[in-house]
Amino acid sequence: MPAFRCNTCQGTYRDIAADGSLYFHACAPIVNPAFQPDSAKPLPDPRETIERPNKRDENITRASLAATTPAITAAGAGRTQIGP
Amino acid sequence: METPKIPPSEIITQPPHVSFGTQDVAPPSPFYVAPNAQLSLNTVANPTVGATSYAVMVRFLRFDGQIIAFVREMVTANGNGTLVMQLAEGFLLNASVRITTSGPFFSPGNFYAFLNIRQVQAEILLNIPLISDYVTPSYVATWPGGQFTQPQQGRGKIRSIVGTDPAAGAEISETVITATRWRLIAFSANLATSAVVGNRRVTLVHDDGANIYARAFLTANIVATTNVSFTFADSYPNAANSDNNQEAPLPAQDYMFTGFRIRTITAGLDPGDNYGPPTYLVEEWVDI
Repeated sequence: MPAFRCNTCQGTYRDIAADGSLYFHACAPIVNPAFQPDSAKPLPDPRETIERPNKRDENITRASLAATTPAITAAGAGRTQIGP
Repeated sequence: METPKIPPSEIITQPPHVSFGTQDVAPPSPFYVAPNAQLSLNTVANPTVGATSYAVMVRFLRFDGQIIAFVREMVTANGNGTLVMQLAEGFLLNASVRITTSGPFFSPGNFYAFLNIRQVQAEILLNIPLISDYVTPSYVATWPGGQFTQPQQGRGKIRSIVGTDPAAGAEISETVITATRWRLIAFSANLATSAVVGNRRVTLVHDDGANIYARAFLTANIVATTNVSFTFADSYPNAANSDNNQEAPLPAQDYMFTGFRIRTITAGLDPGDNYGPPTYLVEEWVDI
C-alpha cells in the first residue's frame, strides 16, 4: 500500500485502503482570491472557491470504466511516491 | 334359514384425471433456446474493486436429450466486462453467476451482473433477462429463483474510507468516485491550528462538482494552537465539549452521485493550520 504525494496540492494519500479497495485522489479547490461580496471587508471571502490550477483528479473517466488501463480524469502535475 | 350374502364393497375411489407420459417427456424448463441464441453476461463494478474474476455456470438440455453443464470463467482488470457464449438449440435449465475472487470489498453494492439470452427474431435483437443482481463471493445470483434488482436498490456496501491528508493551509476535499452512488453516514477529521491568533470556523459543504447545495457548521470557533477533532454524522446534535471535540448533524438522506464532493471551507484558515486525513463512512452502490 504505497503512499503518494500529489505534486499539485501536496496532499498525501494511499492508493489501496486497508480492506483492499482502491482510493482515487482529487485536489481540493482553493479560495477564490477575487471574491468578496461585502466591500467593507478585506479580500477574499472563503465561502467561494475555485478549482485549483493544474488540478489532479485520479477518478477514472466513465468512458474508460471497462478499459484494461482506465484513464484518469486529470493528471495535473503528477504524483511522487513517498513511502512503501 | 340361509344367511344373506353381503354384496362386495363398491369401489368409490375417484379415478385420476391426470396421466403421465413415459416417452418424449417435455423438458422441465419453460425456456426454449433457439439455434441462433447466445448467453450474454455483462458485469459492472465500481472502480474500488480492481481486478476481478467471476464465473457463469449453466445446465442445459440439448436438442438430442443430453443434459450438459458448463462453467465459463472471466478475469477482468476492473470487474467490467462482457462474456458471450453461443448456445445450441435446447432448453435452459439453470444459470448462475458467482465471484471467484476473494476479497472483503465484494459486497452488495460493488459488483453487479446482467445475464441475458440474446436472440435475433424477425430481424430484431431480443435481450431476454435472466439475472440482474449484485453478486458476492457468498451470494450466487441464480436463474430460476433469483431476484431482479436495480443497482441502486436495497442496502449498499458500508465502506470506511481514509481520504487525502491535505498540505498545511489546504482544505479537505473528497470526491464520489466514478459509476458510484454514496450515502454519507459520518465524516470525521482533525484540525491543528497554528500559533497565529484568530478564530477558525469549519463548515462542511456538499457540492455537485461545482455548486454547493448543503452547508453544515460546527458551532464553536477554533482558536490558535489548538487540536480539534470533529465529526459530522447522521442524527448527531450540534455540540462541543471541553476536550476540543465538536460534532454536527448531516442530512439523514445524504445521497451523493459521481463527481459530487464533500469538503471543508474554513473561515480564518491560516497557512500554518493543518488538517489531518479525513475518515468517513459511506453506504455505496454501483450507479449506472
